[in-house]
Amino acid sequence: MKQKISHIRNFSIIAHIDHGKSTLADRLLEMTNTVAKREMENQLLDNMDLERERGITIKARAVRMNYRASDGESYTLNLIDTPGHVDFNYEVSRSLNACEGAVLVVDATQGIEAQTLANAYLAVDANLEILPVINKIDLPSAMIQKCKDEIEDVIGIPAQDCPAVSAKMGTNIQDVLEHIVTDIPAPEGDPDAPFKALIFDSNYDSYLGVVINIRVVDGSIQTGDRIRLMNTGAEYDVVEIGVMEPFGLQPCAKLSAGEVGYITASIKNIGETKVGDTVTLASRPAESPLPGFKDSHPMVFAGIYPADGARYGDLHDALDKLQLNDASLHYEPETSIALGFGFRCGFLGLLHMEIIEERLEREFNLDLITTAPSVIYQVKTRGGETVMVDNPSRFPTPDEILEASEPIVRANIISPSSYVGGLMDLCQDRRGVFIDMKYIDTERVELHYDLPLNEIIYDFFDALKSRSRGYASLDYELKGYEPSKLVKLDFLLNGEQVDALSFIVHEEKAYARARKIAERLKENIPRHQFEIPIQAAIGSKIIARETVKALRKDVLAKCYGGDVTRKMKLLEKQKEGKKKMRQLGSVQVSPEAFMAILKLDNDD
Amino acid sequence: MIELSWFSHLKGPLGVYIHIPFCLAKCKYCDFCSFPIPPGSVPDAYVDRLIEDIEDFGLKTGRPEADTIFFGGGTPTLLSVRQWGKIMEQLSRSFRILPGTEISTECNPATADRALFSELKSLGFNRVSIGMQSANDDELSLLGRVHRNEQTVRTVRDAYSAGFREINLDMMFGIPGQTKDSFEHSIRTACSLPVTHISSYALQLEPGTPLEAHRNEYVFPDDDQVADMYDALCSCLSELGYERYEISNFSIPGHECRHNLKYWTGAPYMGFGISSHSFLDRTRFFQPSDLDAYLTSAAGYQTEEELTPERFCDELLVLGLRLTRGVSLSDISRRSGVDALARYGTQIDTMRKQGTVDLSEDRLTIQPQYMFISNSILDDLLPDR
Repeated sequence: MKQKISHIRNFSIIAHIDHGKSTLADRLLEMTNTVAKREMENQLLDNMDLERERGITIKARAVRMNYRASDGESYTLNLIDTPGHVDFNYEVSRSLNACEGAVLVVDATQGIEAQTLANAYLAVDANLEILPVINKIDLPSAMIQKCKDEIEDVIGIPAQDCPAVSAKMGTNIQDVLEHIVTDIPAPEGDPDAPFKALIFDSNYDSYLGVVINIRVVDGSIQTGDRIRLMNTGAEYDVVEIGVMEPFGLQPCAKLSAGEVGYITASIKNIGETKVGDTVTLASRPAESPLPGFKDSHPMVFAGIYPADGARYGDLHDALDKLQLNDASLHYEPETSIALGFGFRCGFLGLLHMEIIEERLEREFNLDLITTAPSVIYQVKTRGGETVMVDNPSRFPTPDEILEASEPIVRANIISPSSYVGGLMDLCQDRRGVFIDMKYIDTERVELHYDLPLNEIIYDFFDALKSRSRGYASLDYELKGYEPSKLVKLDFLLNGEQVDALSFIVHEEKAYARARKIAERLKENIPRHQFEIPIQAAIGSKIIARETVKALRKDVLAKCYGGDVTRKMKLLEKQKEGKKKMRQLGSVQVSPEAFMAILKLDNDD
Repeated sequence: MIELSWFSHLKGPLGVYIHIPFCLAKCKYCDFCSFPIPPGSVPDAYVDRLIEDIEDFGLKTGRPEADTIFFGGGTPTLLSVRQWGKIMEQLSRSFRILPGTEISTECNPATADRALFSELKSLGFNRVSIGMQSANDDELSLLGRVHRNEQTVRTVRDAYSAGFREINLDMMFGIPGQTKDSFEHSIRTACSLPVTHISSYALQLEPGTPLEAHRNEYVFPDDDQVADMYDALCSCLSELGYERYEISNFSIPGHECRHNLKYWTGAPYMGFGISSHSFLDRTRFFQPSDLDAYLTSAAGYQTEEELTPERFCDELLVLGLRLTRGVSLSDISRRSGVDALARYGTQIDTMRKQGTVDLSEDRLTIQPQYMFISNSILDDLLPDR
């Protein structure tokens, strides 16, 4: 049965991490009988193991629900679930653009946090009707009224009548559904205009090919139509259209203005169906694409190598497979003298990088060595060229550089005011430039800093959490490039430079960082039969040095009849252990040594 | 289970090991199989069972030749003279004991006197190994040793005056609180006694021992300090005329322990008593450590490993390189049937260049300064599986 456009509601749920977005979604599915109680499982929309474990949403998903409201009418509710993390801001903004409203979930015990704000602003930018929902009212420390006041003061939207719920206990869920129907406007759109739809996500199905998730803005589409993607210009014949149900796809004959659904068209490469692009019909194209499309560019780069060089091919296949479903993952082969064959991978951010690493290790059973993450530097050389450097080992030498620039982000930190001192020290220490500070209320402060991205990608988030006992939250957006005194720090083991350990650092921090990393390397390189000097260098100048002393005791003192078997086993075990080591010239290094240089703030 | 008749074709001569799993008290570092008993109360049932096993072996294998006999423990010197006599009598019935056979026993200070040594001498014993461990009484009590240094001195004198000319002292280093100086003092004290042989081991913390359970209460010398002690041991003993012939064993030239050399050269040996290990015909087997099962004759020998030719070759190499004289590659090839040069040649070439091993003619040795990191050298040498 075709739904009238006035009876459709398209909405997202947005929230700070752990404020209960996925649990609320579960309850809505249950309440609308979209999913029978016996089929229900927690975080139903987060169907990746990783999403469930970490309690985050990585991939957007949409689901259609039917709801009979208290006015006696039946409504179609399309919930578009979005990732909540700053790394995926662009994806979030596209998902929001497919909606007319957003349910803003706020944890009654925590109040507004950085991502609450960031997501609320995105929703405001997308002209959405925001429906605040106070969650976790079952907890003794819930402060419902305070939360409502905060939403009104900080975001500036009315919140006094908003639903206060416990998604966990299933309290007041009906109230949320009613508000969705009454508060969120029905979509507008001209069913007779040329077809125009927004791609808010796409995923790969090995049987259907790419499944494009769309929100129809104007017009309608049917099976057999020829579609055109307006930004890429590519054309395809539609094989199937339909709507999304919790456990799969439901084909239908036609999708019209205001509806949310999917298209398949035997598309092999997900890279061709970019999030934010506009779908139209080749026979009767729309005049102009929907605004806001941009190609998403990776911000963080790292070398990923198989711990066992023989598994390079497996790593390649694994990356190919992940990319089928994740167009924002970039990679190209690179070779390191130290690590052999691997890939330089580009990610939207650190979380994205961690997710990819974890999925490679878990879903493809790979042991990886990952080099320190890097950003893209822009270097003007004395030869008059401007080069973009995503791999520290290709950074020009000091005498070749005319001017180097690095990406700067505008960071928004929200924290209880008692931690502000420590956080300002941290930002200062990470070369941050203070912009302003605002009190959200008497206890909470919003801090704005401009920070070099390369200071954020190591361990900034961990440091932020440890200095605020986990209370501070962070959000940031790229501001642009600024000139900076950058140098490349190289490391030499036993006199040989190890390319995979090089990284870029601000001149002022080079010495301290060099000393610290040299110490860390010393801790992570086992003693060898010979002494190993560890040197840190800028160009040809050595700025720090440590020494791994030669091994002096490694022996089974006693070896009589009863010890032989044990001795042979011990040697075998030792040999197994050695296999995991990486041979860097004459030195063997554990894969952990590479991680060690990432963790600088641990004992600060 | 091992069927002893498998070994009926054995060609000797064998080494024979007898395990006496009883001590006056258990030392704090010891994870050997031993049970505390009062003096003079080794159960006859244990001795009877030993004798049964020796007899059974002799019958099933046709009384093979033996040229070394070693009593270890535990503290074998807790046996009564009568028990010693019965065991020795059975050994000579079940083995053809060759002239000049080395017959040793381990002995703890304060468990043997002049009279016992004379008895042992008349039973044919010609070597004793005494657990001195240290000349420092504080170190001894920390280790849970029941003796004091003056008792060591007296025990050595008693053995010597009873006619023993092959005397070994076991020494230990790496003891909590021990310094290089106190260790060197212990070594010099040991060498001031009429001894021909010194074994010296770094203390190893074994799981399940009291010392390990309380390890946080002690300050153990670190690996560098232990290595310093080992270096001091080698130079001190060399100065005093004792030559290192194995990583932890030193002797006046010509006075090496022939029984222990069998372990390091892959020669055949047969063990009796609980937790004893045997190696015959490329098969390693053992008697489980369960005393009750042993006494009720419920236990029998169990296989530990049957060596493939490659594994046997690796063992000959690993064990042989404990000796300063090293191994002859042609010898281990012949004995194992594996071409040792093909198996280790590439690694040997690299390692010779690095200077960790030497190969002259066909004899492979670990360079002296790398003896104390021999595990890491062997690691380089063994082929990948």
